[in-house]
Amino acid sequence: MQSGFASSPAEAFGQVLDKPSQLLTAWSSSLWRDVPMGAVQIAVFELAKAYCINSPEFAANVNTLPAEAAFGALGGLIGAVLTTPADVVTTRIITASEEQGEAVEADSGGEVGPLEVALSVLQESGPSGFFVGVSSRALYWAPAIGIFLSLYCSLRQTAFNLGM
Amino acid sequence: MKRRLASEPNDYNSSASFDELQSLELRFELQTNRRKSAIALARQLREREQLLAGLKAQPLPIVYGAAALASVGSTLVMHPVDTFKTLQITAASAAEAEAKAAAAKPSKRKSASEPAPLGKPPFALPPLHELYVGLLPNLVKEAPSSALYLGIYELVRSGLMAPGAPFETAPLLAYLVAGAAGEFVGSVIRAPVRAVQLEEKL
Repeated sequence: MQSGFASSPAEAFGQVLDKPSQLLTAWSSSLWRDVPMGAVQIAVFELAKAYCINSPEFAANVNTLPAEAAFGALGGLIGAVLTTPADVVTTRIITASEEQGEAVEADSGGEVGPLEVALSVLQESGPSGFFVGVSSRALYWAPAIGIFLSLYCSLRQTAFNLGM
Repeated sequence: MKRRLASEPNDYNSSASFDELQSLELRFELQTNRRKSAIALARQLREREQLLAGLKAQPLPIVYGAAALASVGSTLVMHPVDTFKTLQITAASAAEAEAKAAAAKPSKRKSASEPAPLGKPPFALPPLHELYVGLLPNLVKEAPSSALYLGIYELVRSGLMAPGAPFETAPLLAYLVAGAAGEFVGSVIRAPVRAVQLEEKL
């Protein structure tokens, strides 16, 4: 709510509804990043937990908040690193879509797809261009997913202990 | 054997019987420890099985509620970090634009020998309450979509890993597919709220 077009959430919501194609572009392009991230983070979390349960040398209880936070952080870290190329492409598509705004709607042929954006990233910066911001992304998502999944498991265990 | 050794006048510490007794005691100790750890492991496994069965039988509102609350907790911790990152990027972009504008107008400098204006001091950490600006819209964006993410994940995963189901013996695939399905459904709620947030920030 810094400054600019919409002065209230209701007004902003109205503006979003006025530009359905822009919303669809933002949503569909974010799927390239968010769906793999959602898949990888939970798979790593579950696999790490299962591995420790089945390892006789790992004596600690894995159903504790710190252990689950560590598994979640690992999931968030790996998920964030693997999906950084998708994040670079998604961010470019969304930024371009916002900059073009209505012009994109008017000119139906102006929209760029993920493949075109990926190719332009490759031409501009080479393979390293897909990993711009990888460290800040990993440093953000590792604790975020660690906290999220450990709290989730602990809350469910608490509910179970309370007979729910 | 102990009684026999006690009545013996010789120093039994150096006798063969003593060595035999020592090795018997050691073996007994080892067996006891092994039994103790086996009992502890069996108890742990039983408790874990009970917990897993209980969690599996938990009603869906508990699953969705736990995921939503967990998301609130995570957002409360990470929101200031996100805000700080955004402020840093905005400040860096502004400084860059300022520097470009200054470079484009060299005539404004009184003389060529005058040094170029120095950059702004390093970005300072704002007060905590400023870092929490925009928390409510972020919670509205994250909590329902995270609840859907994990709720759908649990549902799809248990379906895929049920006896006779396609991924019964391939847990990794089940986790990946279920996670992807959960995130896909969650994104349906997250995307419009994210778009509204962007409209307000523009």
